[in-house]
Amino acid sequence: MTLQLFGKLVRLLLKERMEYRADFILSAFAQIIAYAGDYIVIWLFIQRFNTIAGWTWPEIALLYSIGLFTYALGASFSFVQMRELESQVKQGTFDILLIKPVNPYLYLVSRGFNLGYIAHILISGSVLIWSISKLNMQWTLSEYIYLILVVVSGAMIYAGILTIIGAVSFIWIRTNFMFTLFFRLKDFIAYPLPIFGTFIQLLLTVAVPLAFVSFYPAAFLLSNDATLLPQWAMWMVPLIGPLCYWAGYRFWMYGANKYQGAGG
Amino acid sequence: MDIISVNDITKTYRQYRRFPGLIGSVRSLFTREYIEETAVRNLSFSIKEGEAVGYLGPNGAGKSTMIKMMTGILVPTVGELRVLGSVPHQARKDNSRQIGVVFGQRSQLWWDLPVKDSFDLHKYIYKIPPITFEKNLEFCVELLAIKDFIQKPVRQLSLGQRMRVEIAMALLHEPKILFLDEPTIGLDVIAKDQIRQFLRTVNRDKRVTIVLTTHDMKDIEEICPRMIVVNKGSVVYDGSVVELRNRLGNERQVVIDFREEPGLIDMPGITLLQEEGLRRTYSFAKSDASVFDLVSRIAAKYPVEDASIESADIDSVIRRLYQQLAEADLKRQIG
Amino acid sequence: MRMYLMFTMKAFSNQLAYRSEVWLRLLGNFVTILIQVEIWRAVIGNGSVAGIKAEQMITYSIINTLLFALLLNGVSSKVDGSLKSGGIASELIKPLSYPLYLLFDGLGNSLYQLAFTAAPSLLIAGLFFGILPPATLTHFFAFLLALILALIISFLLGYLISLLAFWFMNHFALSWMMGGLITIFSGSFLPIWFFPPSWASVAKMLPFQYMGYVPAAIYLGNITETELWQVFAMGVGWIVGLLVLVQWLWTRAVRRLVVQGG
Repeated sequence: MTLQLFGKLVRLLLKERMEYRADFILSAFAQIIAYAGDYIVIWLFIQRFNTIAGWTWPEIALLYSIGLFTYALGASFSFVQMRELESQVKQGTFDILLIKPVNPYLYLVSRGFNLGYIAHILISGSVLIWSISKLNMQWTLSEYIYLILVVVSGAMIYAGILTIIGAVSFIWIRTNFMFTLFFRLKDFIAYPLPIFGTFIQLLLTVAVPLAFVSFYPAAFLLSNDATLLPQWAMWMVPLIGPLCYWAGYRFWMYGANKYQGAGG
Repeated sequence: MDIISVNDITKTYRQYRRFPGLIGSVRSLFTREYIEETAVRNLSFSIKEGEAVGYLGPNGAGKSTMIKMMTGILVPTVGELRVLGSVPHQARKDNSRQIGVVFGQRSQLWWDLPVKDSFDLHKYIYKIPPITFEKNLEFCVELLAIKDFIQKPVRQLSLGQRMRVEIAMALLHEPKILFLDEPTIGLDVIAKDQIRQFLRTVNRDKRVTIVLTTHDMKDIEEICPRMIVVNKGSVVYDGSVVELRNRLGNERQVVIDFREEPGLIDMPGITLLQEEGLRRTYSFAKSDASVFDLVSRIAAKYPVEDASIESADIDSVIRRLYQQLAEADLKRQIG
Repeated sequence: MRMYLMFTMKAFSNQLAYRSEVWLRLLGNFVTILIQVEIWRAVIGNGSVAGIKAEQMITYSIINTLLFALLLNGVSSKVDGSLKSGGIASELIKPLSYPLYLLFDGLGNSLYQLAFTAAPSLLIAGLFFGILPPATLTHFFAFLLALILALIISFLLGYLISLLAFWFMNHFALSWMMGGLITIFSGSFLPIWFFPPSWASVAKMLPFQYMGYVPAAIYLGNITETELWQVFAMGVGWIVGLLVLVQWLWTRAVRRLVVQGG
């Protein structure tokens, strides 16, 4: 699995989408409207209450946008691929991956690379840039690097968790309910975490590390210290993503081995 | 040299017990309760380079499981399996470059894109040198007559056209072995014929070893000089098609057209199979007497217009083999 | 009529096959309510904003979350499914009204949700977060009436989307767009009384408010008895308007279907 092969796949995926060009554009447009609705509700909310737990509108916009942007990035490499895995295993189409001279995981996620998240990327990216400019922060290069690192890390957290859920398909149980649970948990991180009790905060920090996707990065970038973590932990945050993704990958490969019956 | 050697292979599946509901799903994660099912039992055979072997058996005989083990998709529970000198799942990536696999019911093509795009991607994935690729493409395009639709999206192809394309793709990287899992399923007669002819050419001229599973005995008859029949995970026949016919096909069918209604024909050694106006089809046990003899004895007694002798087709030979197996099974159960 | 009630029963019993998902729905509702409760507690605290206390907003959130489960949102995807599979043709041949069939089928789902999701969720939420009683008896009955309006309007909007999909052939996009409008203008998260004046006046002219804001506001008594008539009159007006619109689109859609041969 080389970058060159990935590029080839993306070109084919794009060509495939362009077969239904009008549909693709209309869908992207519709999704932008839908997410604009989410943003507008929060904006209306803050028009009335000024802040949520001390977070102003541009700050909340930054928090929400990091969450949405990283989700789109991570999910484009994992969500649909992992959700479909259960039926692929059942129908035997998964076997086709195993007869190719490629790493089955990398091929699965690249072959399913989802261009449909372009709408998410566009709207969250725009609001993200807007919020940074609005916040008027005296950022040095290190903050920009930090932002890039946490975005990559956040995407990897999402992809890692979704990969773990997908890998459960190999062990023969239904995964649908786990995806639903995941999306419910994800709802929490649209808001500043301190408004929730310690239990929820710990849950999202330790058990399902979704707080590292957007809340901790945004809090550190905004020098907002109302978090469970001390300031020195700032540079640990971007490590969580690779860790999560690595764990997801290992678990997936373990599941695939189990499916093949190797040493299982 | 054996290109495939299967030595006392057993494959059991563990069917983990599942519990209903949300709590049940969580419980299934931790439970160790399972049922063991044996798909392949103490199976041994070997295939030499350049052979074409039909691998058949009734539904649930473990055919697909065996193909999946040989292609490295599944790992045997017990036993030694070697394909191209290596253990398939350990050398999965290396071996996959030297084998071609066609699943009759699972497409490997990009549904919405022209056929050519799937081929190009295949070239990338298998790292096929451009000259080799062009040469093989030309060979397949010509012999499978796919030129007319190579630029069409796959979704617009008929099933027969699609199957031809699938087979062509599996050969682009010059595999030493070609595995085909029910390649002719659901196809019309012409498409089947085209594919059979092509596979025969590939086997004879390019010396590609072919292993194929099918339900259509004609596939075996026309492509594979050798067949392996499995039942309940074990080999029940391994040999040439001709030999099996000799062993089981000791039955001849005779179709007789009478001039007028002959009434009931009472003669030892014949059984009425079919009655269609004045045409009757009988089966004769070959060992009892010469068929020709019997026919002339009937002709002497009854008004015969015409008669033709047919040998039992491979379908009925296999049917008899399965029947014998089932009877043996029943006896074992009773005894 | 009996035939249509049969569809309701059938949809209800079909849903029973998914009863293993009940726990999941309950948990999902609990989380959704929890998030809103914490937000309102954080911004209102022990005081009040514009005369609204945190307990009122908690009740508001509970009503809205549970109401959402009852709405007939599945209509458009059902039509889309039979449009894509071609099953629509055989639906149209049957000697019955297709929209009525959809309505009663949807009601079966709502009934199921009421019994197995909304009612237990209400109990759980009441236990954990507390729920206020209705403002007055009149408001309670008006609330029940408003629920019926909510069901009808949600059905008509879903049906409208599915009819538009006959032309756009992209049900996915249409329902996402509609979802965006509902998020904002139903007031199901942020009540319209907290909207800035210009936004509030727009929201109060649209039908989406009946799918969230109106029933909850009536329950809490934030719509006075004199205003009630006005709100109901406008709701009925919207229903009539939407009915005319979908009827007109329906005849055109059928004609289109016949011309194109399904």
